[in-house]
Amino acid sequence: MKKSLIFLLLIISCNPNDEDNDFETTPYTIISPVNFPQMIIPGDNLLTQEGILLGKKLFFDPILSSNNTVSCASCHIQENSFSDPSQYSIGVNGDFGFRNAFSLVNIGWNNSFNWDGSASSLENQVFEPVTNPVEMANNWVQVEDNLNADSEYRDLFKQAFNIDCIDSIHVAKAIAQFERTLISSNSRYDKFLNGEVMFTNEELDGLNIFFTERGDCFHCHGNINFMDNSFHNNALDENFSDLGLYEVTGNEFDKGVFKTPTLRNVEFSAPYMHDGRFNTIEEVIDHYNSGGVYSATVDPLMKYINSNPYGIPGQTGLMLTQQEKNNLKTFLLTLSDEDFIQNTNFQP
Amino acid sequence: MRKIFLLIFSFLFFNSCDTEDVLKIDIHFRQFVDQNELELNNLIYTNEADNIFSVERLSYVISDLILYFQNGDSMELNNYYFINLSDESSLKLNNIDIPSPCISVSFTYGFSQVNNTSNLYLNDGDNFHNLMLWPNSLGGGYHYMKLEGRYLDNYGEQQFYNTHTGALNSNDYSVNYFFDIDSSETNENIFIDMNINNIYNDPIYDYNYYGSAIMSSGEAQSVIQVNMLDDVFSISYN
Repeated sequence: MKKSLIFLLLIISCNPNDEDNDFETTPYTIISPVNFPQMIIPGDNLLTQEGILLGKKLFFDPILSSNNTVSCASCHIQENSFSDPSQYSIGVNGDFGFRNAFSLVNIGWNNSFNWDGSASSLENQVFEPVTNPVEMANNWVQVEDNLNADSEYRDLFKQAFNIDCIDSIHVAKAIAQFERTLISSNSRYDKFLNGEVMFTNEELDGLNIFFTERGDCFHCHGNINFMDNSFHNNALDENFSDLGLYEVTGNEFDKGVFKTPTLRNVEFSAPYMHDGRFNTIEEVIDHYNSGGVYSATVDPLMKYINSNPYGIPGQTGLMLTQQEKNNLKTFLLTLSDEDFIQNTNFQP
Repeated sequence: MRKIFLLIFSFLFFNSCDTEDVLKIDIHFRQFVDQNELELNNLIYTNEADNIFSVERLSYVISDLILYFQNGDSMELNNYYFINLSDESSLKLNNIDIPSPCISVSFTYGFSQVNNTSNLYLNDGDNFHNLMLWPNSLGGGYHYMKLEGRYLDNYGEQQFYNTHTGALNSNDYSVNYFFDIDSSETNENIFIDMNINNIYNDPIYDYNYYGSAIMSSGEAQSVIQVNMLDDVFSISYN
């Protein structure tokens, strides 16, 4: 009975104070850049200036980790397009994860999260790294206690959500709000689309390789965010040490299948692939140009594993020349957005 | 006497309140290889060119779907339907209210030119834009169909095919269909059936000849279109 009463009081105190008529926040509207779709924002977590500010503070604060040493920003570094230049990120106990940190650029246009799609919203995604033993290795009760003991956080949560008791749900909401503002739309490619710059012949050839079946990059990376919100086995391995999407769905055909990452700011987000096996863009291009490795679940889009576009016996892969590979890389570098990398709004 | 009056009154009252039966119909999109329902990820099918093949992914667009009724009315349904075998909910349209029995159906495979410009469906659901965009380098707009799988080549080696169709360089390869329906009995279901083998049978389409990728091939797009004109889609009802 006593426990129930305490639980009831906790629930009441953590809920927004509906009777506080003076509570006001400053709405923040994301205006989709030209050529971008509308960003879908959950109705129960509309963006506010106060929420974003709080989310940014939490994103950069190691208070979420068990020994106060690792923050979200430890593995999602702005100059690396909010990914990690290390193959695997290091956690609070010196342990390493087993996947490369996903870039957060334009993450608000994603509809599933993590390489295996294990989170269905940005809000859900926040929960996992906090408790993962090789990441922050904390528990949410401890996180809530630490935050509730901090008067500045109590004020900020009150201002953002009108709550007197900080809980995990509102921590996740705040961080998700900040992450939705991480928008890159001022690359050379964007300027080309808007008619502000002309591409060189090399860039144009690279674009045509990318957006035709010569390179066939576009089937997975074709939209304005250079990802298809979908999952593929891109012919990296014959056997899988990491089962990817299968871990979530249990479907045999999802073994070795991973979420398509964005190529925006690909120049800054090395290493590449779910396990960070490739250090350079050249290595990535060479992988696709080779045709890749056969496996039972390989995507049919990887169609030149055993053949080539010209029907030449004994040859496999796209058969791009060195000049074509160079041009493709030149095009990929037009996706770099220095303004995003240096944007002070994304800094603590 | 009073009881009889009450009975007559009740009969008249309830009869006058009776509305006409509301007619509803379901539309189903089904996929076959000849007479067999499509089974994904199985290298068991043989086409007219004797290619042994499987289907691993299939999505296509049906647009301008119009129902015509006995009373002279017609009804255009949504602008387009994205049939995607990865999404079971895309295979059936439920409980469509209709004013009188349906006597015919028309639709377009793919998009007509006017409904097929880049970014037109940028904000649509079901991830349609991301999955079906047709790049500007090839004329822009959207794929009509993505049919992908494996086949055994002339040497018995496993290869991959991507039968992707669309408006290559803005040429319209869409196909219009019109089917009559026997309305002597009230139908509750219309089945719009696709026979995958008929995409490749007349003229014969051989994976070994056209290769794995055909988006840039006007010849391949034309051959598929001619096949589509004939008997790829059919209608049944009950």
